[in-house]
Amino acid sequence: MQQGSGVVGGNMGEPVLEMKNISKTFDGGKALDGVNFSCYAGEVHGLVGENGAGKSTLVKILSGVHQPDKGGEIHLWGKKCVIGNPRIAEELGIGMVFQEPRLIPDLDVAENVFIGNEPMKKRGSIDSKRMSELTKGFLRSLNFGSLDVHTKAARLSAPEKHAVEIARVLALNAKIIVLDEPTSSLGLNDTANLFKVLGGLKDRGISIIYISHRLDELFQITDRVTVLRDGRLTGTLKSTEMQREQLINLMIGRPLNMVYPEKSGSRSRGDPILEVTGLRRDGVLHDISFKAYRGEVLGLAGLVGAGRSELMRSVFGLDPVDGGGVVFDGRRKSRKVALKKTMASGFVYVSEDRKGEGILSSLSVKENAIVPILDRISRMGFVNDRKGKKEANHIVEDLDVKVASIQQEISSLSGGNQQKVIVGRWLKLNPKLIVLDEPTQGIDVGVKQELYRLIRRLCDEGVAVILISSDLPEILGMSDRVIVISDGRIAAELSSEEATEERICSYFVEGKSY
Amino acid sequence: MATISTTSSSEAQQESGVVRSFLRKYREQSLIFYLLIVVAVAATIFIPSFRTGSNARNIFVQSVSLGFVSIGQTFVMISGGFDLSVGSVISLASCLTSGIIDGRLEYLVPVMLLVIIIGGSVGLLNGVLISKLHFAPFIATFASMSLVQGVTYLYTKYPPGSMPSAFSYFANGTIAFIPFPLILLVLVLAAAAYVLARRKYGRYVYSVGSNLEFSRLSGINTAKVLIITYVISSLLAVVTAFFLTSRMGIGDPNIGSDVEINSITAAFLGGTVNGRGSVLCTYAGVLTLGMIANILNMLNVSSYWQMALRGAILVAVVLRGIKTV
Amino acid sequence: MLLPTKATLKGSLRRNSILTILLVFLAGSAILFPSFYKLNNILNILCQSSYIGIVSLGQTFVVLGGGIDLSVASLMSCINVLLANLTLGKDAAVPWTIPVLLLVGAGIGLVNGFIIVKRRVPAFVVTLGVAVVLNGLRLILTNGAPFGYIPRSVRFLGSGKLGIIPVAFLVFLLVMVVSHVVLKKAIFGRHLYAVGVNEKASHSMGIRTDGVRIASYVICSVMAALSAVILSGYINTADNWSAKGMDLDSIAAVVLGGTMLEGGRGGVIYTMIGVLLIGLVTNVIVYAGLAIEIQLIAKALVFILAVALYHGLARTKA
Repeated sequence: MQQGSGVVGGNMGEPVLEMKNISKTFDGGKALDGVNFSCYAGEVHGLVGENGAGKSTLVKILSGVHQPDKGGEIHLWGKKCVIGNPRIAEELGIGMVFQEPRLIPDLDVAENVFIGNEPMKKRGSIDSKRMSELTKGFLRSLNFGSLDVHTKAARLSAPEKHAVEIARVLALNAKIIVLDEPTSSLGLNDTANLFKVLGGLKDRGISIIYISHRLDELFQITDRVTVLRDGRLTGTLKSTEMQREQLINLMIGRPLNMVYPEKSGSRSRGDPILEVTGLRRDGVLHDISFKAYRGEVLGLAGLVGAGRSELMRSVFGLDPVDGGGVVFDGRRKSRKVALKKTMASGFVYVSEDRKGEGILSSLSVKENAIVPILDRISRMGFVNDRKGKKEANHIVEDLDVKVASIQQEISSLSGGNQQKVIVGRWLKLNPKLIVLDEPTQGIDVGVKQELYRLIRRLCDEGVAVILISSDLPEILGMSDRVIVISDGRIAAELSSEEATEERICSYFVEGKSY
Repeated sequence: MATISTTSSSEAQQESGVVRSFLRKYREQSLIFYLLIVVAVAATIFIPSFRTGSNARNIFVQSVSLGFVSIGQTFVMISGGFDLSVGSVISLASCLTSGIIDGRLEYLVPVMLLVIIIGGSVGLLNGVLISKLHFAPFIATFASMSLVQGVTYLYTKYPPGSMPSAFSYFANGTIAFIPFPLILLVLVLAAAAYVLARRKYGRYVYSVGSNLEFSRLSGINTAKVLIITYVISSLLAVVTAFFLTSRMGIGDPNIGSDVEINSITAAFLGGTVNGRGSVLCTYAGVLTLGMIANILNMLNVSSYWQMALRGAILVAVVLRGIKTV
Repeated sequence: MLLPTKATLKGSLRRNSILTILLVFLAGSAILFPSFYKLNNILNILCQSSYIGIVSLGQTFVVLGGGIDLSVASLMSCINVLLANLTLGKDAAVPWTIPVLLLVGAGIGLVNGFIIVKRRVPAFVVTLGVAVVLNGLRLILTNGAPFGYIPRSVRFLGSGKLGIIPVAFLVFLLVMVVSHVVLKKAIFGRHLYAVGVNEKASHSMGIRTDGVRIASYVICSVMAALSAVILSGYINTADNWSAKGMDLDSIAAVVLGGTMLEGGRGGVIYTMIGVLLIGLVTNVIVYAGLAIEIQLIAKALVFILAVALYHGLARTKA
């Protein structure tokens, strides 16, 4: 494994990339404010920050998706550049590798690597032989030489897809590669492999911008780390000289317990409301057993793709189950039971995909609010509109939803307010157990705090809360107990006192502890 | 199912047979060939009049009109859409050709060119509606079908004009005893297969059909790809119109009815879905449908039953589900 | 709590713009063809709009749920032919024939719904295939020449009047009111809208999305059957292609009215405006002495315009 040595491959010299005074204003506010970022040849430069800190905006500006506000400049190899669109970015040698692969499923590996960039024969047809050979070469340099380049992209595993994405940017002759959360769906071995590959790229003078939440990786692979917070640059550190607390501090900027309401701890914990035994879903979840108690916040930590959402979705009934049992409120929960019944019995699930699964976007706030309780406000199959309005208004008041009228289209609300409506409507069912999957994603700090207070209030009233979150400080700040999920298994169960960021992170990578 | 194919890499190097590689690459679609062979063998055994050489020749010649259209439909379906307007384009092209020329040989070439341009513009309209105005493909082509059919009926309600006798060469001429239209079909088939397999545009058609959004993000000009695809479909419809008009000696405003259903069915039989497909397999589907019609005719099954059967085949083929995503 | 209500404006803007177009058209044709608005003519249009309207209402249900039904025209022609066949013109046969025909409609709707929903096949492919099968079956049954007569009672239904108002229009009004109530007030209506907007979300909210969608196809086919009965009364004959073009008409009416093809937005009032517009366009063309084929062209053009416009309007939403 390559140690971030602080010495970059080749000459230090001038930076290959300089982003000066980059600001970006959107309708909702300033996403970036006067950020300076630079990168040298052969450097692995980490980019970190909380959700919404501005990392992806900065990178989108670099890749031509957005334009910086006036006054911001980008210099590549000393020359000032305007990156008007992604095509231009590619031509300038900037390659993006996203967290979610964007391969064309029905095209094979070679075609995906060279998409838009195909080697041609003189007659004007694609030179597929050369394409295959070049692809094989790239894959070999990435340690994936054994992958058949004629495999359709749909049949590749996650690490293979990742390798193909990297090969694609290499085929574009990228000199600056941005990797966005590259290890989020990789296991321990693949991560080691990736680091070897990155080392090889370094030696060839290619610069790498490495975005990651996993602080340990930053120490391992980067030469420098830039921290963003709330759109501003809080610091650029040399990896060999930086400290963990320093990084976290730069990222969060405040001690933990100021943000989160006081925990009640296991003293106010009630009976178990949910018992999961030996839950299995082939290929995704392996033999999971745990309990959730009334009046307690159970945090589920883990990497994206580790299986937290998949677990709760299977327990709830949205996804299939291949084995194991679930007991809710003392009664066995059959796999075939309708979601409606599950919710009526007091088990509620708030999806992480707010836009896709949470809201009915073109319908009004009122319509969105009353869906779960239609039965309650109707008689003989007909809805009492007045009662519906009353209930909707009640949610708006109770949770302080900022909206002019409940007849407004819900899509016009901010993310935070949308989330309030969603949570509010589920609360109308008087749930005994509520699962919140990434509830504060993309929500501003003020609303986050309101949600945290709401969660605590629910607990005090005896509701069991399962909180799935990728935001470690949030997990640490809210949970009375933490279960770490890794690769579809329970890696650890920690009490509030035992749980630290370091400890949780240590369980992320294939359940190994240091 | 993700498989790291370590062994098939060496397999790929060893395999030499063109047929074998074709079958492997198009495993799903080539099921149609087996069906085709089964039907052909069964018919040969059980129906004496099927076995004659002239009947076989008949089947192939009959397959030409559906063949051209289905090739175009294959392109469209691989790109993720459907072209419901082909039938009406055939009707319009056929009527305009026969109606304007009205027997005058000197008008032949200019009118044919005019009709080709008109047909192409229908494809252009379809392509623009779908790529720039974000119409769903079947809505766009459904609308243009109505439009073109209306224009056709406006122009004529009955078979108009006539074609000069020289034109009958198109449908009836032969080169070295092989019917000219068949040769043309083979050429078009080969060209289509080549474009889809080897040209950038062809691969982009698969890409767009497989995932439009990712294709766009990868830098492909998806609008251009879609427009070209629908223009190809309409142009092939015009070629079909020429063939049919030549065969009958006159145009017909109703000649294109049922063509869309049949071409879509043939393409489905050949295993075409968005992102996947092969013109050769589609043609096998065309032959299969043609053979079934031929057999049913010999068994004196009414054309009404045949119509119902064709609809049932479409539903049946589609019942096994269409790949989503 | 004061936030801009841009989004609600968009919906009413859409509805208002269609209304405006309708009024403009009405005014324009009144000026150009004043004699068009003779009572007789208007009553005629109301009759025609009635059967177009009922099937369009059925189509509205399907489109709201995110689907489409291209088999309505074929089904309607089948019902027309069956009506003549089964009753042979006798009024006594009507009380049992009509329920049977409605059941046939329901059956077809069930078939459509099941294949589309359970096998996840694109709606238009399935309904297109079913349309072809129905065409074939109908031709087989009639052997190309339909026989039988339309009973007097049905004729009354299709072209008769109660005082000055056409009976067909009364039936249409009744269906309109029931549809509106179901869509806006019944739980099923709410569910249908939700499923049309976002099936995934609706499912995770506990709505039985499959059932709702299948039901929408059944409703559509039953309404098509009802519409066919009225159509039979109006044209007073059995014809193999009596309902030709009804698929375009019903979808055009739905779209023109402003119901979005992606589902979830629209409703009865919207479709009614669309039906009226279609009826006007069709009749004004005939009245103005233009060739009848222009109807098809005009409908197609208006259809394309409407979809293009509404999509444009829809895309600018927040």
